[in-house]
Amino acid sequence: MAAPLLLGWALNAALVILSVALLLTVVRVIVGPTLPDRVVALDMLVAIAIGFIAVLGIRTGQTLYADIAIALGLVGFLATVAFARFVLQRRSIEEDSE
Amino acid sequence: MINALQNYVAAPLVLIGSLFALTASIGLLRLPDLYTRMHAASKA
Repeated sequence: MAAPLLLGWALNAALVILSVALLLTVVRVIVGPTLPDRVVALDMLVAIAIGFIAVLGIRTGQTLYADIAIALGLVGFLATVAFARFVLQRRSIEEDSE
Repeated sequence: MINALQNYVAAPLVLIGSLFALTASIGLLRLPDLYTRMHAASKA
């Protein structure tokens, strides 16, 4: 098989696999019985989105996509930290009211 | 020549990476409680 053809096939397969992973994680976000479950699932969602952007970057040959993926990683980390602090704060408020 | 080699190296790596993401999401969906789910999510 010619090399670019093989890479193209692999990239398409990776996009399909990442889509399935995204779907399964969204199910966990919707179902997730508690808030921390959803926080973990949302963090996972960001990680899969970064993978998606990286694959698209290889497909189009645009190096700018790598920068976008790094920025998304930073934002995702900040969002997760904010969520964790929110959970912590909510828990301490609940303990105060008891 | 080196370009073709690059493609042959990149294709399996992309596939393996996406399979890791799939494994993590399956673990996130099927494991019983929060801590095991966090352990699965760290695979992505």
